[in-house]
Amino acid sequence: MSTYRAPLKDMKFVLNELAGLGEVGKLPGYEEATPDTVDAILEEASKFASGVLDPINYSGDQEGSKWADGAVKTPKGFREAYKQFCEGGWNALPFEAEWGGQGLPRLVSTPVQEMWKSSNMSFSLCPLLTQGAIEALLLRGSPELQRRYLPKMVEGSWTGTMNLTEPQAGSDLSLVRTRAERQGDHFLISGQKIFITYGEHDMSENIVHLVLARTPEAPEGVKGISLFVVPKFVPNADGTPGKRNPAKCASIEHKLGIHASPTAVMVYDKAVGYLVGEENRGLEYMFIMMNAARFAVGLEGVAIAERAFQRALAFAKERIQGRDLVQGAQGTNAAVPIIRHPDVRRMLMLMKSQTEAMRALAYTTAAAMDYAHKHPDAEARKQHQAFVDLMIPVVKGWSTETGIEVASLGVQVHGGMGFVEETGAAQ
Amino acid sequence: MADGVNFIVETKDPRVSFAGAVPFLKLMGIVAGGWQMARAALAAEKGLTGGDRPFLEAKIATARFFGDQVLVQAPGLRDTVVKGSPAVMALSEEQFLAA
Ligand SMILES: Cc1cc2nc3c(=O)[nH]c(=O)nc-3n(C[C@H](O)[C@H](O)[C@H](O)COP(=O)(O)OP(=O)(O)OC[C@H]3O[C@@H](n4cnc5c(N)ncnc54)[C@H](O)[C@@H]3O)c2cc1C
Repeated sequence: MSTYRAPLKDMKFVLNELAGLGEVGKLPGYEEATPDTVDAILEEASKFASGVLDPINYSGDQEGSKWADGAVKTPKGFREAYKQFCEGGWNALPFEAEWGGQGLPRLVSTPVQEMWKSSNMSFSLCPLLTQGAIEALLLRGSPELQRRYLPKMVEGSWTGTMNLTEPQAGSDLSLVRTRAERQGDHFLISGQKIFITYGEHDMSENIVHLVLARTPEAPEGVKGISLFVVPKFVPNADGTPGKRNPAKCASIEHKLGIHASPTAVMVYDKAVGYLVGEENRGLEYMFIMMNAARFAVGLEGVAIAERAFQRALAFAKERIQGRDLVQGAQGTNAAVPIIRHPDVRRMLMLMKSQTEAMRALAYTTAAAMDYAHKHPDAEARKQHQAFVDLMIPVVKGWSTETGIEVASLGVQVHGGMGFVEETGAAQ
Repeated sequence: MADGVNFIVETKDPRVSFAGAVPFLKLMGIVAGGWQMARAALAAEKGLTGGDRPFLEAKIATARFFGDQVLVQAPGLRDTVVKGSPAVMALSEEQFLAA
């Protein structure tokens, strides 16, 4: 099976020649993103992806996460890899220095995250969900909530989740029914959530659930949904994880893929929760944050396409089958590597060219996010934000759909072996 | 792409314009991707002297392939949006059961 190698040459080409890393590094607050520092970060990240995450990608998918009695055991090696990930500062990389992060532009965290997703999609979902929860707290959490939760979550010792979906409320979140009853300075949350990524696991000392729910007075529909923080262990005054909250994992799903990533059914039975921002504005906050999440999912399409291409290319160079069209006609009878055949070449080129196009669009959009955030001129910020708003659905929709097409071509390049788990193409 | 945008903006029946939404998104992706690959080819050409020739030449050839094999889908997708959308809602829900 082929080992993942980060496409550093292409990543650097896109960063420097297309997305304008040099200019982004001049924005106030991003001065640390010099070409040398960025090179060093990419080199180190690629070592972590190839050396730590890639080796447990296939085994993790085969073993899967296991549920027993409310607890979830992640596959062999995941706990240790996550510990190393946090100790190496990788979890903190995308966040502001104020909270223990490295304050790097999104343009730099984007290729790094592409590497996590390519080398081990299941693993990468844990920090992804933590990032979403952190962004919600940064956006609207009270100073008290921020002080209590952000340092642990940025460091990675506490992970985060997003609890939107319920059995009757998927795309249509106006149908959310989970209840929140006020009790003094907090709320008691009751209801069932489904499909909660990393809703329960054994890699961190606490899990911070961000939950959409309704207060008793809330109006019907989307205007009556509030956002709450519901910790697995309610933190003590000194910040250590305290009493176990009745926020329980009832089961995990048996899925088509990403078997190592636990997808939990969560049951809340009067669990202690704290309001984020104002009542009835939860969905609005969630959607601001969803923009970052959509971008990240689009990047998953790029990452899966890259991984599929690398496997297909390695196979096409090794597999000997059929004669060379020109030499064969001249009487040479030796079978050749299948990369020699025009149709295999066409598939490899479709994989390569679309992956590179998606990467270029995603990184260019990441740079626009940095400008929209930090450009000194308000008009320029507005223009970049307009570009971001236009491109995010494209990065998300087009890259994920194309990611599937590219992965499917990868299976085809492998012939019959593409249908067999061992090669990794099916994964 | 302009044809697709005009169609979506001008179509009165929202069911017809929504029927073209995903093909339009794909059109947008392919055109935006083509735009980026064209920028990549120009940047690669500029860097050729003194640069990493095998990588940069491959980039130019890859951009060419994207144009010749992927970007060429754009007119078909435009037609899918503009001419194909009304066909989407042609069957009644009952007709799906008739088979
Ligand atoms: C692996 C995995 C991880 C997940 N992780 C999380 C998580 O961490 N947190 C969380 O809250 N949720 C999570 N989800 C749930 C996910 O957000 C929902 O599956 C998604 O919102 C779709 O909802 P649904 O499954 O109910 O599908 P439905 O909403 O029932 O959709 C069914 C089909 O109808 C289409 N459809 C629905 N409404 C419309 C419309 N108005 N117009 C056109 N088409 C429409 C959809 O596109 C889809 O094709 C996860 C799901 C999966 C599979």
